[in-house]
Amino acid sequence: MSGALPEKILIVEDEYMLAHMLQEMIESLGVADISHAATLADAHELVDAYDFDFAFLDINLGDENSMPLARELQAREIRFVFASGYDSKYDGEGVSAPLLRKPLALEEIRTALMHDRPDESSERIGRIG
Amino acid sequence: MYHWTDDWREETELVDATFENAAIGIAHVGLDGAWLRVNERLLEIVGYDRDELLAITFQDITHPDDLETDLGRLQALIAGDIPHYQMEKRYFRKTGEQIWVNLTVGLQRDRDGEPDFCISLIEDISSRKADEEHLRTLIDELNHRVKNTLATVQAVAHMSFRKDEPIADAKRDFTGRMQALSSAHDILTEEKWTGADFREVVEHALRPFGHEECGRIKIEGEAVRLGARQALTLAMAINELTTNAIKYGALSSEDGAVTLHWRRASDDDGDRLAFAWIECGGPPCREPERKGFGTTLLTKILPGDFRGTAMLDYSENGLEYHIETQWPGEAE
Repeated sequence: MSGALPEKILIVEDEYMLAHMLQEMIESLGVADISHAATLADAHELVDAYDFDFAFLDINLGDENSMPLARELQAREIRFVFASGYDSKYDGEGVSAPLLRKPLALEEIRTALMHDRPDESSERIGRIG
Repeated sequence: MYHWTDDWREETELVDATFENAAIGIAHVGLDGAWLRVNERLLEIVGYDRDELLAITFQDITHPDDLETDLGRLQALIAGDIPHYQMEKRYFRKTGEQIWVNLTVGLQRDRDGEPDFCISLIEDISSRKADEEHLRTLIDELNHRVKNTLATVQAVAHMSFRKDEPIADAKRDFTGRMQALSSAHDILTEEKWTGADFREVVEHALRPFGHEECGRIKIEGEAVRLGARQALTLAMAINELTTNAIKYGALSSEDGAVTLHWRRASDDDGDRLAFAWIECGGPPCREPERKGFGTTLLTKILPGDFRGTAMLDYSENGLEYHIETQWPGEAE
């Protein structure tokens, strides 16, 4: 799959200011249906309730990390990318997904939304797992 | 190097004493790795009795990850490829505890010039290694914080510089926001990033403003411990509220004043924090036509980071901002 924007996006980010900015950036690309969760519990609830077709996962969520959610998204075949400020020490533990590095550029977000393997098209986009 | 004299007996005793009493571990080690002679300091370092250590080899107490390197260098030393070698390696003490040593090894040859045994100097560097580890951890943490800060700065810039905002105004507002962030960083650094006190965050955030204006802000509240993120967001909120009050609100007229108070409120769900910014004596205020950074920060970001609900009330008497949240601190 390549070239189409997702329709329903979940942002998992514990810092509200960063979540707000990311939401505005995604909106500017033309996606209007965006949800936000700041904790793993809230994110799991949203994933149960809505048919997301894409998710942005901040790796470190305070005391938690988003790996358990990543496994669930993978099982549900929902596309997602990780976003982190620093190169993560996580080895993926069975999860494989692109890693976007903060600060995020609009073009990187667009690439991540539209391509299955954005890590193959940009030096700044890595991969976990 | 060494001169055998008529006083050889005295000299041997002197050498023995030097070997035994040196404040660094010294050993003669066989080419197969057996400890041949060891001094007191080495016994202290590895925690074995002399008889026990002389019955085993250095391989027995060497960390498996360091063994290959050590053996490789030893071979090179015996083969005459290198004159001596030095490495940092790990031993296991008799108790099983892992220690770091700095090992320096030279070779003693016999009368025919054939390798006879090794002379090893062993220095306990565990505390230096622990310091290095600690420093590494600190640098990693610092890196995380710098990266987090850069991400926050990006978000503030993104929300400050908008198409409909004159660039000069946006620059001035952005600078004020950076100063607020910086003021919270000062407190967090003093507190080693374990958190910050509510009042201290407020007082630091007010420092860029004039004494006259700040004198008209009455601050009341008990000690409340905030998490690091909450402290940063609160500092920026105080900056937005004060800037707005000076430009358009209570602090824009001579008689206006502000009360900022917070208190613990308890209900069935446990302790909650209620805080309010209440302006009076200024011109009547009205809702801005456009929701800027300040409005977003106060109505979305701060309630989010504090896990609470907020209300911005543009009343005739002046702006009121109320927020009620989970009791902060413990969750952070």
